[in-house]
Amino acid sequence: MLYYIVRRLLMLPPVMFIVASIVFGLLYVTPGDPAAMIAGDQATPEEVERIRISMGLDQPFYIRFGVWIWQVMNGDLGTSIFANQPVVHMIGQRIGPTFSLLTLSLVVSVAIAIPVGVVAAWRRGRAIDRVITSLTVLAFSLPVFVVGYLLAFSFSTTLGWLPAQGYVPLADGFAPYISHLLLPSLTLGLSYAAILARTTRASMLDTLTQDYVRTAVAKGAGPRVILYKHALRNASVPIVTIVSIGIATLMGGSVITESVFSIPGIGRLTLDAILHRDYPVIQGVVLLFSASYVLINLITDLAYTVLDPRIRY
Amino acid sequence: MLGAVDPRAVSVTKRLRPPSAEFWFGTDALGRDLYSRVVYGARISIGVSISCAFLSCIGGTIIGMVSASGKWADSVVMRIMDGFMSIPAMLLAIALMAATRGSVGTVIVAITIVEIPRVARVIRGVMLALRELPFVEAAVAAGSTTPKIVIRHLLPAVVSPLTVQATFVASAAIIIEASLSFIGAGTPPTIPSWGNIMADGKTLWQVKPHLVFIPAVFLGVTVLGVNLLGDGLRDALDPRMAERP
Repeated sequence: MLYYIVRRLLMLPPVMFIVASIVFGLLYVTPGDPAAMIAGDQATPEEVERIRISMGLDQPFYIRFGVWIWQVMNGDLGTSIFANQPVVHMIGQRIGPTFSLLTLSLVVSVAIAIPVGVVAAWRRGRAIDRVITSLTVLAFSLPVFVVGYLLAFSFSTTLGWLPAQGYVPLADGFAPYISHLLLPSLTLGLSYAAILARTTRASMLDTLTQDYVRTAVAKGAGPRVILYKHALRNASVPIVTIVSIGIATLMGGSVITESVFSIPGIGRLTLDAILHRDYPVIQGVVLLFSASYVLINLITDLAYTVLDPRIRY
Repeated sequence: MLGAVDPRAVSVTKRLRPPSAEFWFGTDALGRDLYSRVVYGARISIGVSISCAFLSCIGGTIIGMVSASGKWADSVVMRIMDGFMSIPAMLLAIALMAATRGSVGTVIVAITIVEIPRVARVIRGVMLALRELPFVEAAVAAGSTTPKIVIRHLLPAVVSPLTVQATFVASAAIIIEASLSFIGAGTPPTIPSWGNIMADGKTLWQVKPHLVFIPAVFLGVTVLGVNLLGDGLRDALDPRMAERP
């Protein structure tokens, strides 16, 4: 076990190095001058020159890459071209709303998807299973922003139950914080919940045919005990895998959700960066999300032994 | 009937008309006929989708096969693919689009780069499993060369999982294109893709929700269709993967 943890930890730096190389290299795969590309079509030669020097583009590629990697390892993600502020500082200011949104989406999705998937597997082939299965296909056939507008139109514009715009920090009270985050979280979590529910159903179908489930039925255990104690525990490894892999969907979707609901988080920062072609900010955001994603997957891998004591590394 | 009116024709006097006999879906904020735009948008969105599916299957198959062909190549290629897959798809697409000038071509390339590692993984898995089967051993014993085994014996076996992957890429591509256009990082705003039509409508969606919802219905139905096709193909082509009734 210790050997496995150490080996997994040793694999972390190479993966992050490759991610960093990809993020850094993207700007140079396209033909043409990256500085002119970032400056845009209306830029003056002076502006292009300023960007060239601020990004170190006047130096050879390998030196730029080395310097950049060294800075990243020291927690410096560079300076925004447009705002002229350190990228780390800009991300730090906006991470709160995004973290809240991602966490709440995760909680809401898991809370909805697992019971729904369990019920679908338990009532396999019946009307409720068909309805759930159809709804899950529908849910990941819609882009996040369409779901957002649908929910905002129903629950905000028409019914007036929840606010559809803005973000209130937790410090200003729990009720306004949650009410502002509820629609965005449902929006972001919907397609993720759909994938989770499908995985839960498939994994539960596997375990429900096992001998120990039949034994549990034979000894007279109720459906709740069979489903949640016997079957779900044994079905949990694939479900947890999808929970952790799917977080990438949540991270990508958060940029779009924040745009629909005007949440001043990292998504907004990314949108502004796209508008101004502020490449260092985009690099920083992509790197931050990827690093978090790799870490989450590592922690999940290590958690398998807790979920299923038969797994030994 | 299909796109009789120029989808880009601007008319100041006919702005924001509700759906009528003349304008079936009404007009947008610039007086452009929404019906023509949605019909024309299908060409862009579906074109992007099919191109991405085709290109990522070719790229993914080549990379997957190279990876499965040798131990050394495998560890190098798969580490790079892991790197790509560690970057959330939407963010990788955004970063690619930020590094290039927006055009339909760059959107296709960006989505293809995002999807290639996923296809390559599946192909590699299939190839590694096939390599152990007796018929490959028989071909080796019969004196076939490695390229011949790959092309004559292994490639045909890859076709059905590849078809299923292609439908997944096709549906993902429609959604990614729409999302990129929606946040202003996709096809140039002058081209009416479904994403751009919805992006145009987003400032007015609370008063004129049909500007967003009509293209959304078209997009949703298309993606749903492609997804159902993929599920059906998977069950039909690969009985082992089919969900038990």
